[in-house]
Amino acid sequence: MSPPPLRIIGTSSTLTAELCRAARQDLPFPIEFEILDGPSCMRRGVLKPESYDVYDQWFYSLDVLWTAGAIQAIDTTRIRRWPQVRIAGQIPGSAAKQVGAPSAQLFVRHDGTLAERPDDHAPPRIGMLPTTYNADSFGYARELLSELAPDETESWAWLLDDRWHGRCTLSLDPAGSAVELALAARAAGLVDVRDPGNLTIEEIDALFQVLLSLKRRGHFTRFWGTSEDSVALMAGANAVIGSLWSPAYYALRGMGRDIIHGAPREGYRGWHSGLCLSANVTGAMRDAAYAYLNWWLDGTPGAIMARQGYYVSVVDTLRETLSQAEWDYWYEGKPASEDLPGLASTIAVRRGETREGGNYLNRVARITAWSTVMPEHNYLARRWREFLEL
Amino acid sequence: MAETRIPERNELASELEDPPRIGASAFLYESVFGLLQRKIASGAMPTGAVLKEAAVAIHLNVSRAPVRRALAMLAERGLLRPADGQGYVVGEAIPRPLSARELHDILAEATEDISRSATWERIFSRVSGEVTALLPFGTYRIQEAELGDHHAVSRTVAREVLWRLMDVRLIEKDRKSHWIAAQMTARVVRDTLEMRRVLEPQALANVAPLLERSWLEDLARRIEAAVARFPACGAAEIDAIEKDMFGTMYAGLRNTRMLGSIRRNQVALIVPRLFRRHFPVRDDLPSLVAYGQIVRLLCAEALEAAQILLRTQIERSEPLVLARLRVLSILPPPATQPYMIAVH
Repeated sequence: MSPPPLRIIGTSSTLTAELCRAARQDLPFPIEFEILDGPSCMRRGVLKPESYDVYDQWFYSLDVLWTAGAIQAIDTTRIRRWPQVRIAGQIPGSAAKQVGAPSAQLFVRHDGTLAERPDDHAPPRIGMLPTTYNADSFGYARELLSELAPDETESWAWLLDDRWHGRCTLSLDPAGSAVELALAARAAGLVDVRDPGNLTIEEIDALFQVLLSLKRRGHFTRFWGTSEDSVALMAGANAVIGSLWSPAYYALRGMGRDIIHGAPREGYRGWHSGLCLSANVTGAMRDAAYAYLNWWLDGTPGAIMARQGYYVSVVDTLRETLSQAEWDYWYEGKPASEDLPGLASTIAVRRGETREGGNYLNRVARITAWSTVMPEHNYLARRWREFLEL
Repeated sequence: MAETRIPERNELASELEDPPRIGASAFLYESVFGLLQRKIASGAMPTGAVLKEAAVAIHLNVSRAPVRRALAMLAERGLLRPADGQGYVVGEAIPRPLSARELHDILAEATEDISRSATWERIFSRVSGEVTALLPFGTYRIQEAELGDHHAVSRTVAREVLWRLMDVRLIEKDRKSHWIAAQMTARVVRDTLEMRRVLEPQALANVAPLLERSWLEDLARRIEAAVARFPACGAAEIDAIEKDMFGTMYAGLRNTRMLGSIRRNQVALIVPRLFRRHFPVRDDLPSLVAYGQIVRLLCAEALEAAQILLRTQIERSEPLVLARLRVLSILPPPATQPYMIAVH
């Protein structure tokens, strides 16, 4: 009889077909992947820790899962490459100026709270193992360039711009979309927002007054639930601009669509993913879970993530799994010296193309806000439902 | 998602039936019992009078169930004895059936008193629980008439209940005069905790001389027992301890305005209580330890130290309450009651 599988839940951003295949090939135990959309995954993570062994999602779910008692601390002495781990390019626990949300609550302190720094005099324990991350923006069809003013630069304000009325698409998940729309409304001079990642009740109300009015006038086309949906939308005739994750952008490029990935002057929206251990996993299954966590930092997953535009927390191992040309394009921001493969053996990048925004440290340095479950999330979520249902 | 740990609507509501206390007896049968007991004691209800459930219910304008229970309680206490056929006889005298007119005269003056105040009291705790359970999830409009229908009471009684809920700030009236149960936001949590930091240390000073030593000692022992057994002490025991710490503790306040303000600002106490219904008890230990220290300081008459510790404790609770509210905010909202409509 085969042993029970290691059960992993996550979203399609990280649990791609390539990644699942590689994990099953490289690891000596059976693995069961379950792919959910973002909000369902988080709900499941919180409510049913007995239904998974490893949770793979965004950092903003960390304190929610931790508070709910759904996950257990990760012993960093069991993470082989822990000393090489960087959160968005920064050493965990260092005074990292550009790193905001993801590292703020990484460590588990002796009193059971989450903190930015580890306890002294003890091997650090963490709530979530940092894995992959990116600096996100929006994509737009090249044809829009003809409508721009001569000195106009890319801006989040474009998401709300009347020039492409009815043709803007956004993600259904408010954790990213609300931040993007706050950036957009601020950039367009429509709403005063102090911190797009921590909106006050008044800011939320002001923002939604603008958004509801835009939606009533038909400014937005359909919203997307998964990255694949966004590809279909942007590949069709209805959307010419929209929030777009890297894999979707490179998939569209692979399909030959002439889409530009924006490097907005206000900065990027960042996100960071990681892995958690269910509070319920013990014994041999926990050993398998640690093996899976370690595998993530070994180079193979990093290369798979890189080919869809994501960075990983341990880069040293990528030298063996990415070609020099791939490393130069994805991480160094240099022009591609040859055609580069994307997912599913398409060509994602043509020779001579350069990634928007420069090398990975430059792009990360320009992250101005992170996807988040902000303190007023329940109020925001209610206004968001109202906005979607309108 | 196939199943979750979210209880069904009714379960959630009944679990939360723990409203701020208003008035003394919350049950109709208790009011009926009290009334009949007074009438018997005063002689207005003569010995020998035969009391039948149906007749008493009609004259008091209440249903038969509370009358049945009240009569049984009076019989248990020896004030009534079972009659040969139906009903009970007052005292030891020879049974004497009362005419409808006689019964009416004895009970009439009390009718207004019972049928109104006791009815709202009877459903107040349930409605309060039903409303409270939904506060983290959204803003709801409460329909007076539907509330009455749902709980089988008149619209007048429903309105009475809603006014009482407004007294404790669970609901408010909007500009269109609709009853609104407004969502518990992070701001509400922060603002009410700020008020509690100001109010409760002073309230503690005011009531400290009135608190019974034996009650304090007993509470301290209970808290220490919960700390020792933590987390096996369970959610219900922590709820009960918090109710004593922040409810019973101030019940003797002479300054009713201060007491009212405190009650209104304790609305965020429902966050940990709701949270503990759904998730393992884990992070409550530091609070329990602090409660124990506060009560021990009160026992030792070290009032100032107790006040400082109380203020600190309320302040320290904020991050955890906010984190728990954030967890609740991602749960699927429970089903609403038929008299509540979600308002965007």
